[in-house]
Amino acid sequence: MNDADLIKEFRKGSTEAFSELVKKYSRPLTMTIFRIVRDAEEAKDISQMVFLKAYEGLPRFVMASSFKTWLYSIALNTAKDHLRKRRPVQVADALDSLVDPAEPAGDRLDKERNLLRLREAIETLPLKQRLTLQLRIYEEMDYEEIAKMIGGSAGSARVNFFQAAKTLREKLGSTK
Amino acid sequence: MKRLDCSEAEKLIISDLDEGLDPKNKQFLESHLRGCASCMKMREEFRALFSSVAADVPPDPGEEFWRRYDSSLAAALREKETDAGWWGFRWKMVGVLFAAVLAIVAVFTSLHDWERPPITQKIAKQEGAEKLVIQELDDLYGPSSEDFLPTFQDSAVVTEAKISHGDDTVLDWFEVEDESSNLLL
Repeated sequence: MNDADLIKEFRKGSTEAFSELVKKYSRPLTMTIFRIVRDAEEAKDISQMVFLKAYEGLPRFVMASSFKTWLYSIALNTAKDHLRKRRPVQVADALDSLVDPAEPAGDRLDKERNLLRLREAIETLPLKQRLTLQLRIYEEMDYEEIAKMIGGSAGSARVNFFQAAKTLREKLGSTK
Repeated sequence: MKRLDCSEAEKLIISDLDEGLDPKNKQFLESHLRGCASCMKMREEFRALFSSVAADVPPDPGEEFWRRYDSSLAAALREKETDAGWWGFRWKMVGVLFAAVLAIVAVFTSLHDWERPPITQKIAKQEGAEKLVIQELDDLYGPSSEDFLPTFQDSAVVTEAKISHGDDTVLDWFEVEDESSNLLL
């Protein structure tokens, strides 16, 4: 059954249809949120909140966009609210998993330092630029999709990506 | 052919690394880069930047995480379903009660004798108002109302009847009759 059929079934009262949608989207959606907020527990809470919002909102969903776009736009708005409210993130979290301990100590330190600087620089980007960059690079979404999810046009999403890349290069270059 | 300046080259470099350029713009950029070392360096920096961002992906949190995720989400959704069911039941109950109240009102309204014009109308239009009032009382209580006739013929009773409506006449009449009785005593 495709998403539209599952939504119809859910509207008729089938909770199993909603469980199918959860099964299909929960992992990719949670991983997208995880890559944005960089904290697995926070990503879990946000993702679950998104599915609860979707459960409540699905009877009113008009299918002007795909279910995936609608669900991700809820997720990104919830993530944006979360990022606005939370304390500055510990960007050093989970560095171990990305840096190879077998590497020579000097190389490893350089790599860690560069990663920290990169994460800090991404953290300081305006939210729309940050989300556009992350959705474009991590999720490989096209600009039309990004615009539908975070608002604005494809053109403005391109500008956001360009500005994010330019700012990051400037910040990382200036501290070298 | 127009020469490309470095700020335009920056846009093209980002576009090229991001989505790729059409052949014309690609050729335009490459010819600029061949003669501009700083833009060439800029391209390498952007390339390194994008690959660093792409490489900094948090790993999958593992099966234990997903087990906890699935079980807590399932519990939260069950709670929502129960809430929705409970609220649905409550709204249904409110609907049933409302329908019952409407039905009761409808039954009582239909029992009211709308065909019978208010006694005051009869009094206003016709001669012999007292007789009409008595006839009205006979309709309600039978011939026994004649027992009250002497008192009822008091003009105060007729006045009272004139300002009354429909069935209320009976109550008003009794009140006046009681007062008259007291006066007679």
